[in-house]
Formats: sequence, C-alpha cells, structure tokens
Amino acid sequence: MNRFFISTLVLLMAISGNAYAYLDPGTGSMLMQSLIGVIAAASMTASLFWGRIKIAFYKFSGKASASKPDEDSPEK
Amino acid sequence: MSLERISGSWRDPSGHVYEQDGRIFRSVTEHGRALYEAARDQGVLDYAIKHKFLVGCTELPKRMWPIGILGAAYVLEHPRIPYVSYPYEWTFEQLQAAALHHLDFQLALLARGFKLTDASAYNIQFLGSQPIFIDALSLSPYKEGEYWLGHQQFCEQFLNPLLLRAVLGVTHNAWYRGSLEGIPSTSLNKLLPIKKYLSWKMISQVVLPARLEEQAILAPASAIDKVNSKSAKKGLSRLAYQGFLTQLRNWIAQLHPRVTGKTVWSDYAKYNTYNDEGKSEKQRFIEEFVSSVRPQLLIDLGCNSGDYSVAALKSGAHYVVGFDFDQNALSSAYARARQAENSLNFLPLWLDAANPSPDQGWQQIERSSFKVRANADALLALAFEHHLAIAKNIPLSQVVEWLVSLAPQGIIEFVPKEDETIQRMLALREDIFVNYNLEAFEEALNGCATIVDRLNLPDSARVLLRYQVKVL
Repeated sequence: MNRFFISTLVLLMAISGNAYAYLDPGTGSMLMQSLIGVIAAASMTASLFWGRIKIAFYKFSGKASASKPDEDSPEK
Repeated sequence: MSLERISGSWRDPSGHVYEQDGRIFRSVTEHGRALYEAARDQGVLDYAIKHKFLVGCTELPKRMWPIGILGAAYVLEHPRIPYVSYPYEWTFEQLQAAALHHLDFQLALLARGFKLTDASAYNIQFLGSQPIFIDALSLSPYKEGEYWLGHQQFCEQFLNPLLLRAVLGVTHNAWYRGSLEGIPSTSLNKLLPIKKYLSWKMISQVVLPARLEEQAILAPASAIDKVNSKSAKKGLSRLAYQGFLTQLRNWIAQLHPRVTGKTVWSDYAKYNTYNDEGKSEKQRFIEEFVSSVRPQLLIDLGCNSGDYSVAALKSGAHYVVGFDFDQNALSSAYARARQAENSLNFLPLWLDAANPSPDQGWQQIERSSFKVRANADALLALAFEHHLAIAKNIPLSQVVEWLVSLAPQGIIEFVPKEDETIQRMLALREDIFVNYNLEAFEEALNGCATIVDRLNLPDSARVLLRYQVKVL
C-alpha cells in the first residue's frame, strides 16, 4: 500500500514538474490571442471607422482639428 | 577604469551593455547584426530617438571601441541614465507612464513595420519624470500574422501591478520586488472581485489568459496542439495586433489608484510643524549649501512632495532623486516634476529606508541594491532620521553612519524628542530612547564627518547640521 502511495505521489510530482518546466510561459496569452483576435480586429476597425466619421464631421463643420495631422508625428 | 559588463545584461544574445569611466556602451553581436541593421537602415532607430521613444545611440567607428569588447559587429554609445530605477521603486503613476510609453512606442513602430521583441518593464528608465526606452536591440521587423509575443510579459510587468492598485487598492511595490518578473495573471485573477465578469477588458486581458494558462499547465500537450492547430496557425492580423495595443492603451490611460483614504504624509506640506519663518530659514540654508556644491546628483531622503528637491534644482543641483515611503506624497512629487515647464530633473522613488532594495535576481547581481546605486554628491535628509531612530528603533549612531555613507556632504536635520512629531510617535509606547539627544547625534556625526555649519530653526528645537566627510 505504502509503495503504491509513494509511487503515485512521485508520478504526480513528475507530471506537474514537467508541465511547468517545458511549457512556454506565453502559451495562455497566445491561445487568448488566437481565440479573440477577431474581436480585437473588429473593435479596431470600428474605432478607425468612427475616427473617420469624426474627421469628416469636423471637416464639414469647419473645425481646426480637421487639419491634416503631421506626417512625422508619433501616433499617440 | 576597466571595462565592466552591466550585470543585468545577459538575456539577449544580440548584444551586451558595458560601462567604462562613466560611459555606457552596447555591443551588437553577429546574432543581432541583421535586426540592428534593419532598424538602422530603414530609419526606424533615428525616428525612435528623434521622438524620444528611445534613448540616444551613436554608432562608434572601430578605432573608438573600448578595449575588451569581444565578438562585436558594432559598438554603440548611449548617454548615461543619471539614476537607474526599477518598477518596484516606482509609484502607480510612474508605472502607468512607463506602460503608456511602451504601448505608444509599439504603435508607432507598427505603423513603420516594426515591433518590440519583448515587454520588459526594466527596459524603461526615467530621465527626470520622462520615461524612455533603453534597449536599442529590442526592435525587429514585424511579420504579418505573428502573435504579440510580449503580451503576457506586458500584462505581468505593467497591467497587473496597475490593476492591483486600481481595483483592489493594494500597492504593487512589495509584491513586485519579491517577484521580479511582475504579478502573474493567474494570481491576480484569483484576487479580483466577481464584477470582473462584467468587464470585457478584464475578461479578455486577465481572466481568459489566466484560465488558458492554468489549462495549459494541466494539459501541456493539448495546449501546444491548439497553438499549432490550423486555425491558430493563421496567427494574428495586423489589425488585431494594433487592436490589442490600442485597447490596452485606452484602458491603462484611464486607470487611477483606488482611493483608500489619506496616507500619513499626503497633507504634510499643508499641516507640518514649521512656521513660515522656520520654513524660509530652512530653505535659505539648503540653497546656500546646494549653490556652493552644485552637485551632479543629489539624494533627498524623505522628499515628500518635493519642496526641497525643487529648491535644490533651482540652486544648481543637476539631478535630484527623491525618496519617500508615502505613495500619495510621491504621487504629488511626480505630478509636480511632470507638470513643470520643461519637466524637472527630479525623480521621486519609493523607498523603505529600513529595508532598501537589495541586490537580487540572477546571481543576486541582476538588479542592483539601493546602496550600490546611491552614489550621490550631496545629501538632504530633512525631518528624516527620527523615522529610523525612533520609529524603527535603529541606534542613532547607525542611522548617522548610514546617511553619511550615501554622500560625502550634506544636510541632516535633527528632530529632538520634545518635538510634536516624536511625542506623537511615543504617545502609546514606552520611551526606550534614553540616549536620543542632540549631543549624541553630534557625537555620531563627528565620528564620521566634520560639522561645517548649523542652523537652529526659529521657534523649534530642531537643528540642521551640514556635514563634510573628512578627507584622509
């Protein structure tokens, strides 16, 4: 009985140890990106689209912020 | 002085950082040559430096390479960062500024077909109040379809510590210091309240990655299969990559520390024990000292919201690093440094003086201790010593020796026992400090330095002593 218990314990420790040691730490993050990347892309498209509507609106209403952004300026 | 390789510079085989006579060099190895040349030749390096995303770097001709750098394809020189600090010494606002700097840099790079290869918070340093990226070899060309491989590192080193404070009101410093790679999503997920399920940002950036990580640890083979599956192999579109960066940027920019009441020193500037005359006398004494020394680096221990740090800068100090234990006081100090016109050369940092940052990390030298980095030309320790001598029971002579070891000259304020602040400290405890008095303080100071000037503050028994370490 004792021998069975000890060998099971050793096996469990070996399994969990291997799992931790040989897995890339970013696996969870990569799986997340593959699962919901489409949603991130869709929200980005929506916000770009919304940004264009706003620019068009400003241009239409003649506000200064409609001026073309500086090509060399960082995207903030 | 001989060439020394910086102890934290070993992870990346693309190059290493060296120091010689106060100058900072970076080798680019054959392994890193192609990526460096791509960033340089496509103008991305120049763009990043011009827009203050990246610290300056100059490619040195071979005849100017320092002797001792082996196997280099190129050698670059960087301007020296006046004081290297770590994320576990930053306030919430400094970590937030560093996170936004990282994301802004990534977005600007992505627009130019480049990306950052990792998301280490240690690659960001502060020049005064301004964050700056320091690793010129972290830039590499972006390939359509690739995942954001630094995402988990970004979450652990930036997002999770910020959420700890913003959602739970717990500061990140102690945990981060004990866990140099940041706060794991699996740990944070266990602590977040149930309302996390109402937020898509929380679900997508914390809950989901944590759950998937846990599943992957339990069944690694299946996780690897999923990553290698046909659908996952398609990778991440450029738009999705940009979407993750933008979503995180917008979220982090809106985070605030959760208000959990006033901290000890947040109202100190308004309600301290000085009168106006005392304050101006004190200021004049400090200004006189600083203008006569004009230190390159001055340490202001117990800087509070930075009144005397700013006075020191105005009097000729080139760079001031302020330390305090109180988060709200430090937040005020950082806001002051950032909002000032041209931003100040003032870096406020979190410090528990009774337990300063140790040498730690790989081989216990990867991240340097406070003691190793604190090589200042001048010291201000105003209304500070009693927080060690009385509040922490540290013998007065040891406190004085430690203070003097930080800089060869400075001003230390002695707070006598009858002072209101010490009376409050002793209100509910036994007074075991029989040898705590001005005579003992002066004796200790005379043991390791010379007292060259003094100021008895009007209407108070406090004394400011200016010291100079004896030259043997």
